[in-house]
Amino acid sequence: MNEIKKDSTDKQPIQGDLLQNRGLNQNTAPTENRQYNNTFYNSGFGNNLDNTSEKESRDISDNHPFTKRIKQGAWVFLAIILVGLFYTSNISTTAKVDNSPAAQEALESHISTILAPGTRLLQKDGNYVGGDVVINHSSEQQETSLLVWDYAAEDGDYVQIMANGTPLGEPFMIKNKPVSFNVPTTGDIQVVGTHDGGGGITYAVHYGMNNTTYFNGVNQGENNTYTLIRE
Amino acid sequence: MGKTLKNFITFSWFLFLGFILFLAGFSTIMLVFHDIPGMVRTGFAGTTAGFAIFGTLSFVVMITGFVPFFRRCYYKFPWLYPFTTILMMNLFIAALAEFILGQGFSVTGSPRYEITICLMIIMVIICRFVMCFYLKKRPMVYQKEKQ
Repeated sequence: MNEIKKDSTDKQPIQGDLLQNRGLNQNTAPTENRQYNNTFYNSGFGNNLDNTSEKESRDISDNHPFTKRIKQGAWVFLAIILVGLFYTSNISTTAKVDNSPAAQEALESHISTILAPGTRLLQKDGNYVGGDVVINHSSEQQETSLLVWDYAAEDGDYVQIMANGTPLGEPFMIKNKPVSFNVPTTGDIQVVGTHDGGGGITYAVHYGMNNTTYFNGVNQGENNTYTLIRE
Repeated sequence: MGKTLKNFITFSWFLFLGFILFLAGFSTIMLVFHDIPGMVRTGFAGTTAGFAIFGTLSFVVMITGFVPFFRRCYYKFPWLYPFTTILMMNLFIAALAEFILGQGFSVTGSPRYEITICLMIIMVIICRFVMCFYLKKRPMVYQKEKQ
């Protein structure tokens, strides 16, 4: 009896008929009248009538199972978006670009003792190819921490770290979040460019022994050697 | 005039939603037939943009559900809501598969590759099963056009 009808743009004739029928149905039970109104007004289309039953009928479309289903789905999408925002802000490894004067200076000199490990300098890879570095230090420690990260875009660059010819693990994808290694404080530390995700392999290394960050770059298949010399 | 404006808004949003759904379908196809096979073939993970695309498109679908003017699109075309829902589900599953591959392939190595691929396949099977079970338990209900 309560047949569900689609919202229709050609509503005016129906509304006109309904008004006439409403007048004819004045002697009928209020419940029947309300149901009849619901049939035609369940779309929730607005009208300027102040009749309470028609206001109620306007609300019924919001209670229709289809509308409820749509709204529930919208809430699910909202929840997914909120979870995604939480992940992006707290868990994601992607960092914001540092545009401070120290970062600008580091971009030019490719070395910094001020910037923190994990600093991102570029939005995109800049095809920078550096070279080997000789590091003189006075640290008495036998081992030091080595932090490696991508200081540009996380675009799928892979490197492998080798200490005195010995690989320290498998090639891995460098991200904005640093990865830590323990390396000896003397000898050769090699960063091998395994795979270029696009724009060159841009990476940064931070040595704990001298608290210095080196922003470097290497081509796929090539390597940069950091010669550590204790003075 | 008010009705004309409402219909104009609804129709305009329908066109925009259609473009969004086209993007969703295109993204799903690209993820399934280009990005994921590319990662499996090369053994390297690139930029995983599946969830970013899904999040962006989800925002439009969410707005469509909440705003009555935009929701009229689903009343006008009853097939549109099931189509949208299932398309977004498929995009989510593809994005999740790409994400799993991206995480697993971030370090090279044979055992890790195999485990990651197995995890991805298992995830896809489970998600498809959950989707089918959910849609069977809660079939799509929509307003039928008056004959």
